[in-house]
Order: sequence, then C-alpha cells, then structure tokens
Amino acid sequence: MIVPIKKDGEFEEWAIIELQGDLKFNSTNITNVYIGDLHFTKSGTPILIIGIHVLHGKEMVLPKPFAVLVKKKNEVNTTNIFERQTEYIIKALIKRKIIFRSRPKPIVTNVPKFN
Amino acid sequence: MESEFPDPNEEFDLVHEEEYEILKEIEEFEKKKGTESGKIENLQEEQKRNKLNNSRPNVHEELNALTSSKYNKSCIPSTSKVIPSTNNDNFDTDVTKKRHYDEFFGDISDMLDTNDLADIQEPKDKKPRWDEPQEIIKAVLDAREKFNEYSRGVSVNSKYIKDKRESISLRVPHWNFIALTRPRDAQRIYLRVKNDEQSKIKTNTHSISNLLSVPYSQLKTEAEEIIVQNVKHASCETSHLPVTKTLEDDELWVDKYRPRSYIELLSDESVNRQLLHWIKLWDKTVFNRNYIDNKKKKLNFKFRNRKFADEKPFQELDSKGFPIQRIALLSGPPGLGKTTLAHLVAKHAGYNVVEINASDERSPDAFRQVLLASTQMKAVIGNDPRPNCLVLDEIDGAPTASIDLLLKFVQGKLIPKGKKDKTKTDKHVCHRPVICICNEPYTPSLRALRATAFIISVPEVSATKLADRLMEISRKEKLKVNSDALLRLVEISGCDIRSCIGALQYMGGVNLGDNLSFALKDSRKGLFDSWKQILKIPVNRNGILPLSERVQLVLRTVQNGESEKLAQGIFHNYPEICSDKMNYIALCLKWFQFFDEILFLVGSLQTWSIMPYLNYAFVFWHLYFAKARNIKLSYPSIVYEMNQKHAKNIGILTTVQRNSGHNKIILTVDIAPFLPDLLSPQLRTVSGHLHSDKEKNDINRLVNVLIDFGLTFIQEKNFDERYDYKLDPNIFEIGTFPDCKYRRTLIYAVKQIIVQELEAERLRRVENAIKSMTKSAQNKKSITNHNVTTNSATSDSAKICNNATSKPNALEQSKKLQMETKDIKYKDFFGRTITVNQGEQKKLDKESIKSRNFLTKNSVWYKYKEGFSNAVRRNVKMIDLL
Repeated sequence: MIVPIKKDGEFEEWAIIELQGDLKFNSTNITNVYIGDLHFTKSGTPILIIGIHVLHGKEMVLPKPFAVLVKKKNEVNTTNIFERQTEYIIKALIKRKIIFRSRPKPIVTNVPKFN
Repeated sequence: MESEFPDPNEEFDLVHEEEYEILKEIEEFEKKKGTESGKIENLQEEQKRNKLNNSRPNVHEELNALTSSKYNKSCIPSTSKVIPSTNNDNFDTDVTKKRHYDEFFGDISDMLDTNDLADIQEPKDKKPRWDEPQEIIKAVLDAREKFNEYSRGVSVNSKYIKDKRESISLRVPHWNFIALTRPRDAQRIYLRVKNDEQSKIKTNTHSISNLLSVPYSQLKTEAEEIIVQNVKHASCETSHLPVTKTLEDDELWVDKYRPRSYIELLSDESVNRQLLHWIKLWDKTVFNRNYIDNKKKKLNFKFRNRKFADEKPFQELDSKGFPIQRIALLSGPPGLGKTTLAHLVAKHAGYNVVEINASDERSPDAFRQVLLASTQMKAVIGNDPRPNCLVLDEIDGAPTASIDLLLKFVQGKLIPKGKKDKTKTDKHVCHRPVICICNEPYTPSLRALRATAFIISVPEVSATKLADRLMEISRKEKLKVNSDALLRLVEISGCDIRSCIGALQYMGGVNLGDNLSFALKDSRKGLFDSWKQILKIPVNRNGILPLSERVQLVLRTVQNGESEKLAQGIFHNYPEICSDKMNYIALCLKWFQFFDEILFLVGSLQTWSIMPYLNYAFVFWHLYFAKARNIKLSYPSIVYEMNQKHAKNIGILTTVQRNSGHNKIILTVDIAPFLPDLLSPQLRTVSGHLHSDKEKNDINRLVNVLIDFGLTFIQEKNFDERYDYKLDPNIFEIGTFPDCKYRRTLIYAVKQIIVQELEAERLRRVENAIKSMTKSAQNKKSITNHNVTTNSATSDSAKICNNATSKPNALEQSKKLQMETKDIKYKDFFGRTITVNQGEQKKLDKESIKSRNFLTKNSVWYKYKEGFSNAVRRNVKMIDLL
C-alpha cells in the first residue's frame, strides 16, 4: 500500500522551539493563545519571554530535517479502498530548531525603587 | 701540700721567694753578671705578675699530679683522670709507705718542678724514694746544679721553661691547646697554642738577656746584604726587566691586584659606607642580630665629629625587620670596581656571594630558579656555611620580564609555581640581600627597579688615587714608570681602573705615551658625561685649563647633537650648583631664553642655519655655572612629568567639558577653582531624613551640580586600607594647586550620603527622559489595542524597542505601566523603599499587582524541568496513518 506524500506548491520553512519544561495554561482553550515573545540578540542568541520568565537558548540545525505533513482524506473513490484513500501534503520543512535548555530567569516587576 | 699552701697567691710568693734566694746565691758566683741579675729579678717579677694574671695557681698541682700520676702509673692506668684534690688520697691509699720525696721537700718543689719538666722531655727511668736518702740528696743536688745552669747561662731558658710549664698540662686546660699523645705511655698532653703577643714577649726577653739576639757581626752582614740587594734591585729596574716579568706570570694584574679587603677599596669611602650600611641592615633578618642599635651607639660617640655623623639614616627597617629598600642598585661607568665593591662588601658583612651576570642565562624561568636557589638555600656542606648574598651583575641587560620577576620576588608577591598555597607564600619573601649592578641606571627596563631599589651611584675614582694605586702595582711588578705617564693613562682611560691596569700590564710600562687607545668596556659618553663636562671646570695637573681650551672643550662636547636635552639637563641642574651672584644667573637665564627662541625659530620656520648659535649658549653656561668640585647631577625628569600631568589634566577637562558643555578655559579659570568650595556644603553626618531643610537643599544643589558637570564620587581604597570617595573626573586637581589643602573637605559619611543621592537623582533623570520619550510615542500611536498577537502590536513594541532601549518589549510594557506612578517621592537610606504617603503606597502596590497581572494575564507560564529531557518514543499504528 502506498501512502502518497504530495508536494502542494511551495512550502514554508519552519523551526521547532524546544523547551525543557512544560507550558502551563490557565484556560482549557489553548488555541491561538499568545505564549511569549521571541527575540534574537545581536549575536544571534534567541531569547524567549514567557510570562515572567526569560529564557536564553540557542539555535541549531537538525541532523535530519523534518517535514510537516497534513493528512488529507479523499472521499472521492470510496469503492476503491486501496486507491488513494489518504494522502499527505507537505506543509513545511523544518531544518532548524531553537532549543531552550537553561533555567529560566524571572522578570522582577516591583523592584525596590530608588528615589 | 695543699695544707701548706692554702692560698694560691701565697703559694707562688713562696715559690718565687725560693727562687730569689737561689738567685742571690748564684749572684755570689757570678759577679760579672751582677747587673743582669737585677734584670732577671725584674723579669721574675714580671713573670710572677703574668702568672697571677693568668691565674695559674694549679700549675704546681698539675705538675705534681703529673709526677704522682707517673709514680702511680702502675696503680692507676688512666692517669688523665687524676685530679689534684684526690692526690693525697691516692698517696695515702696506694703509696702509704713509699712517699715521694717532694712531700718532704715541699719548699724546693719548684726546683723539682724544673726537674719534672725536664722529665717530660727526657724521661727519667726512676724516681728516688724516701727510703733511699743518698739518691734523694743526689737528686736535690742535681736539681740545684741544673737550676744554676739555667739561671747562669741564659735566664731566657728559665723563662722559656716557665713558659713551657704554663704551656703543658695533662688535663684539659682552659687556654687554647693542641692535644698530643706521648708515644711512650700513651699519655695525653695538652700544649698551649701561643698567640703573637707571647712570642713578642719572648723575643723581648731574648734581647734583654743578650742585648742583641743576634751577634752584631751577623747583623752587620745582614744589613750589608740588604743594602747590596737594594742596589741590585734598583739597577735591575733601570736596566731591563719588564718583558721577562710579564712573561713569568700569566695572571691578569686586574685579578692579581684586585682589592682583597674592604680597606683596599679604591672607590669613594662614602659610597662604600652606604652599601655596607645597607647590607648591614639585613643583619636583623639574616643573622638575627640588631644592627641599628649598634650603629646608633657608634654614631653617638665614635663618629660624632666626623662627616659620617651628618649622614642621615637614609633608610630604616620595616615592621618585619627587613630593610625598606630590599634591593641595592649600584650604578656607574664601567671599570670603577662596582662588582668588586659588591663582592667585598658582601664578604665583609659575612655573606657568601652568588653572582649572576650577563653570561648566565637570564630568562624569567632560569632567573626564578637561581633566585630561589640562592636566597632560600644555604651551603651546608661547604667549609664556611655562610648565608648567600645575590649579586646581579649587568642587570641592565636582563630582560624586563626577569626584572619584574625579581621585583615581585623581593616584595614577596611571587606565587610559587604549581602550588597556590597561601600559607606558603610567606616563605617566598626574599630573606637575603640582593645587589644589582648596572652601568646606566636610566635604562627603560630598570624603571620599575629604580623606583624600589636603594640606588647608589658609584662616582669616578679620583685620578690621583688611581695613579697612586697604579704606581704601587708597577712598583710591585718592578716596572719603571713615571707618575706623569700614569696620570696621563688615568686621564685617557677616563678613570677606568680595569683598563688602566690592563694597559699597564700589556704595555709593560714602556710606551705609556700619548697615542694610547683602549678597548674600553661599554665606553659611551652619555648625557651625564656631557653635562658633567659642561658643568665642571676641567682641571689637569697644571691647574685649571686656559679659557680658550675650556671653550673648545665645551663646543666639542656639545657638537654631537642632542643640544635640547643637554640644555634641559643644565636647566634642571643649575640651581644646585650655581653661584650666589644673581647677575650671573640672570645672564645665564637670558641665554636660556635665547636658546628657546632659536629652538622655536628652527622648529617653526625650519631655519636650520641658525642652529649652530645654540652651542654658544653652552659656553656661557659653562663659564658661569661650572664648579671645580665634583657635582651630583640628576636627570631632568621634570619636563616629562609636566607633560604627563598636562595630558592628564587635559583629559579631565575634556571629559568635564563633554558633560557640561563649558569651554575648557572657562572651566579652568572660572569654575574649577571654586568647585571645591561649592561642592563641600556643611552637612551633619546623620541619616537622610534627619537633615534640616537647608541641608536637604544643599544636598540637592550639590547633586545637581555634580550631575551637570558629569562628576561622581568613586570609592577607592587608600594606602592604609581605608575606603574613600574620590571625585571621578577629579576636577579638584585642576582647581587647586597640588600642595594646597582643600579648604574644607567632606568627610566620608557625608560623601556616602551624597553618592546615594547622586545615584537616585541620576535614575530619576533617566526615568524622566524615558517617560517623556514614551509619552511622545504614545501620542503618535494614540489608540493602540494591546492585542499582542497581532502584527501591529508587535511592530509597535518593536518600534519602542528601537527608540528607547534594546530591552524586550514585554519588559518595556511593564515599565510603561510603572512609569505612571513614578512621580512619587521616596526616601531611601538603607536601600529599602519607604513611601511617604500611605495612599501612594497603596497605589504602588496596586501598580505592582497590575504589572504582574499584565505579565501573567496571558495565562501562559513556563515550568522548567531540571535534568535531561527524555526522548519519548511513541508507537504509531498504521491505521492511524491511513
């Protein structure tokens, strides 16, 4: 059986953000939620700010690139079950990942103020 | 016997009374020597006195012990153990019946003593016993006869014997002795080791006895011989000797006639003393004896009226007993005997000299090894285990790294390689004196050393002194040299002792003429020589040179360029040596002016043609400043120092100018002089909130002024380990003259308060600036939804990032929120936040909660997991893929 993987036009290049830890959410609805800001310093170090935490990470190239696939079910030929029932379309390629391994630093907001 | 002579002095009186009696008897027989006997008596008296002084009461007993021990040889094998006090016991127990004759003839014991002494030399086989009266009588008679012989023939002999009697002992004596073993009976005998004084006495007595120790005729022949030899000697000298002589010994005269002791040193006495004093300061650490006290005592009564007394104690010991300057640096032109001086002084002070010179490896590593080896170890096996003294010859050739190492080592900052044990570092402080020797103390590599070392510059040896020494050498070597030639030699060599002696040896003294040229060691006419040439009146043996020659000499000296440096040196040194006449000085100063003008013209217009006129200024300076005596010159460092200071001040001014925007001239003239007064208001040293309104105003004003001029106080450690605040571009230095005290300075605590206020004010200003900026930004983007996920928001925040700071925008936003509450007044002393107002406090709390909420309102947070992230493998079934 062949599960075809199709290239559907131009695909983007994405990157993985790998965190050593968990992301916790207050609400159960976690779609389309703002997580944090990702910045790069002048030297290229990625900085991720999540809530009150600042994370310093590094960017690396994946040894094997990943492809992000979208499963697509074809309802066209229901009779021919073996033919083209399901196919995958490449959404994006992932060649790099940004990895945040270090312990996050807290952002202190109510600093004692000198006045 | 002891009972008869209870007191040793009495005993000797008695002994000698007997002798006098005998002598008187002898006098009857020998009338022709009547005069002499008086002398003998004197002599005897003298001897007696000597004896009493020498406290020799137990000679008699010793001798008695000798005889008795001899007598008891069979009974007591180890005779050396016999002690006089036990004599009687021995007699009583062992020889109860067989008593020795001298027990009964106690009074003539001295005669028998002589007998016994003779006995020591020429052993008698047998001693007479009491039960054999004839033999005793015979012995007594023999003894008398012998005694007569002694006193008649040569009374010296008797003296000699006396000496001997004092010189021989069977017990371990209290004087210096040599132990001998008598081969006959394995008896240990101790002989006195005489010193020279005693031998002198002996010769004296010799002459007394015979008027002349040697017959007149013999003396006469000897004298004649000496005369003949002298004549021969003289004739030899005149005829032909030098060539053969020099061939005979291949030792260099420089080594042969090197000074062997401190006294023989040619160099200046004060220099020698300086170095010796310095090295003696080490006594405390090296030999653990106090030198300073001795020295002071000496100074007090010995050298009071001498020139040494006004020599200040130029350095003392520090708290640990080390001399403050731990290195001595000897500098001076070559061939003056610096090395010799260092060696001799070190030896004189009881050190073993370890020398490192240019021929040894002096890379830092090798250097470190030698340093450690020579200063921390000590010869144990050698025949004189003295502490080492390190002499670093020709140090100006050593690499700078090595010199740095030496300095670190001497200051005890050298960390032992490999181990960094703090406790051990104390051991690596230099415990031995280090003497460095160089020709040119102003070599750049020696700069650091010069700052810490005790510098002794060795001056030139005076020509006459050196010529005298050369004369002495040539006399010893039997060279015929006239003193004029020697003086000339000295002059040509520039008082270089080494080259003089070398020349003397190889020229053989024959053609010490004018056309003599040396291969001088490192001879280089430096600036100092040129200055000396100009500032000293040249003298030859006919007195002061004529004026024309002097002018010629000066012009010749100046010709080889560097006239600017030369003039600087003269300008630097003239106040020390100039005469009292002010008009001369004024004249010379005019010439300095002339010099400067010409130099300026040359510099600005490139008119090199007027350059030669510069040289004539030197002639004038020479004529008016030069002195006949030896002068001490110093290097003109003022110009350099001033340049550095100027650069520093300009630096301060430019920084202040950049901050305040004032002109430099305005700063120096109008502002800087008053700043010290403006910046030191009267403040009490109490905590901030206790200050009165006036004081608060003062502080505010002060802080504002400081910020406006861009000044800060910076905490610095003082020399005595205390902290102090220093103004950061230290504009006080410009405003006040270095020797003036500030009229009023702030004390440390006040400065502390000011610094805190300063920091607070600075923060406040920065915040204000940011606030105004963000306000304008807000005006531009009047209503922005803070929808962070949308592109517009991020671009907005990014813009703010670009505008203000490079901080991430989440922070930025939080700051924005905080900023609205920023106009609250805080009092802050211990670094804690104290709000003045209760309501504001609440507001603040609200704010902080608000800002916190802002960060967390997105309801996403991050939980970090320590350790490794486990790769998770999950099985995927095919059916899910399909």
